[in-house]
Amino acid sequence: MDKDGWIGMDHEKVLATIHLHAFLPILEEVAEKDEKGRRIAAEMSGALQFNAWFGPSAYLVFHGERVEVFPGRLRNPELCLSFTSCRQLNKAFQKKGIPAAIPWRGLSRKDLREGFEGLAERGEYYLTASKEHLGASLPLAAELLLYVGILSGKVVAEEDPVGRSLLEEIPDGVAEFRIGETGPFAHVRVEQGRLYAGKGPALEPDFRLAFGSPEVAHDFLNDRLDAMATLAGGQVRVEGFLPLVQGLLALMERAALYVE
Amino acid sequence: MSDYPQSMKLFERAAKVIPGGIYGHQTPVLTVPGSFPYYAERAQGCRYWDVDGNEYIDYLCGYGPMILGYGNEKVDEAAARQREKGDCFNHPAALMVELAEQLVSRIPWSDWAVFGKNGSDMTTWSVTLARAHTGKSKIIVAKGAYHGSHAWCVPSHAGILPEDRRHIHSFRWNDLEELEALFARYEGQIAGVLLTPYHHRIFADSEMPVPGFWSGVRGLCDREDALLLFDDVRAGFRLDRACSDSAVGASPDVAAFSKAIANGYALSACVGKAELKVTASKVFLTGSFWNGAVSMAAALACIREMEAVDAVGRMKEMGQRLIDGMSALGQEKDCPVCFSGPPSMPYFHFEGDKSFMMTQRFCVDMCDRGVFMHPSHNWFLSAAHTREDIDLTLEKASEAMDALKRQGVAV
Repeated sequence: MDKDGWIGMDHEKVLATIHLHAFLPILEEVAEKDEKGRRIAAEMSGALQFNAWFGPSAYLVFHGERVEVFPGRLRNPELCLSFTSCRQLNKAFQKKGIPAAIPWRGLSRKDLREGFEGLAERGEYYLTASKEHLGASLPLAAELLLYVGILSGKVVAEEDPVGRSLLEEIPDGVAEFRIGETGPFAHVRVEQGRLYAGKGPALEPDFRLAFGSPEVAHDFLNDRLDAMATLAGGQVRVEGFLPLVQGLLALMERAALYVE
Repeated sequence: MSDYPQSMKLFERAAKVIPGGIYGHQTPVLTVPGSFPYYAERAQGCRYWDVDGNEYIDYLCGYGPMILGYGNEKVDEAAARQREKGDCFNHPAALMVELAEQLVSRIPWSDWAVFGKNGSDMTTWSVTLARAHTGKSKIIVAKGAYHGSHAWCVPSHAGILPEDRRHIHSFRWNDLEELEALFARYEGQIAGVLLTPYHHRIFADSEMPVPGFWSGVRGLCDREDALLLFDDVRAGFRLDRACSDSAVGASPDVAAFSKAIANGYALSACVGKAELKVTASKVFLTGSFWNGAVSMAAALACIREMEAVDAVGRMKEMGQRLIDGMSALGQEKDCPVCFSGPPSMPYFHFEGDKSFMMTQRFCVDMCDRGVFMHPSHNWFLSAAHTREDIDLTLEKASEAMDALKRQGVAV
């Protein structure tokens, strides 16, 4: 697909925002639920800031075995990695030159940087590994894919011209996504042209989508299933205000073009 | 998922060899997947039977085409007679001329007719006609309106280029100011305004035109030399004996029909004013089966029979009986209902049911009780629905509302 034609001039900025606002948040689960991730996180403390000039920013706070991710800037992070452009940040996240980052602060905190890289590697593993390779880790991979999917959809709705026009067509409401009978959950709220996305269940959803199993979720979110047949066949159950999710799925598909 | 075992078995097979299993408007995803039948076996009158042998009173009518009743003798006999003679020839049959004459005679402002197979054929052709006639590019539609499955109007995104919709702009239904603003913004560029008689969408109340809307649209089109294109594909023949223009006070230049025109036989048509005829002759249209004689024979019989039985009057009466009855039940059982749109095409949901979940559960329950009501699409009445059918429907609706209350389902 011709990215110039389909993606537009803001490509690097949208992708950088996906990296910071959709990928980084899943490291919270990696640090909590992945054994290697837990070990890495246990050794870390302090805050790591990412900035791209004229682009997005986000920071991670390491509290031993727990990691929290926030959008925006922190006043005094222990390590601040600043990129001169969104393109540089994207290259770093795609492992094509992390030295491009300028460590404005925290030159001595090599541990934070290396720890982050270890966690990010685990995150990437869950997003890209095959089902066969994942084995028993597939439920976590499905969970992370769900979070990345809806958070990327939010980025595209805010930053991408086509995404913004897609958002205009999405009616107000709250959609809840669930994997299996008991979760994990994610939710999206559309209200007056704004989109909010988060982990966890929705309070009063107007629409519910439940993946029958982590395996179905993994295939569905990796676009390996015939979505309409899967919905009609009952492997993914839906109830409620369908126009809400049709637009959201279109946003997620749009986001996938960037990541590809 | 086991209420319709044969449907589900077929669907499993379908999903292996047909993308989506069942695609387009008939996808089960738009109902409540697994809780409605997926495949039909046969139909008669206002009833149909699914592949599991379940019988339903039908309030969807094949999404509109069935207007006189499934298996209507007059229509089917006319079609059968023509089928014996042949359907697809090297030339059109004489019936084509007769059908054009019949349509033109019933739609006073129209002077010519052309034919296709589906609504999209005609809405797309009318858009091309408007561009050819005016030499302009832009088409205005109402936000959320459905005009077919072609790239410029399909309500999905896969494979659609920005270029496909670059010249399509939209305004909120009934908002003349916004329409006027579009005319100002694209001064000298608007070829036509394409609108349905009233605003019928899925998952949303139908909106009738407010007083002055249609005259306002007409005035703007005249002032700006744009054509007023009328998409009567869904509503045609249900609000009036042919075109819905008089029922809603519109005065179009071109109107497109399909669905009910031949009681289920595949046909669409477009009619237009005399001053567009020369341009219309230049805008290429054809398809291998577009001049098929069987569906034209069916259409002729259908048009005559609709008048003979006062189909419009019957549908209106039965639709109103259904609306009144269900509204009374809703009040009585403290689960008030909302209806919008004309009685022959009512749109239903429970009051305050923003998520549609209560409406969906009600429709699922009605389906279990032998009444097919779509939970998010407008319903269709037909001339085959009788008072007894409506009263039986109301009996089932009463039971279904009681069941909802027992289950504690509430808005």
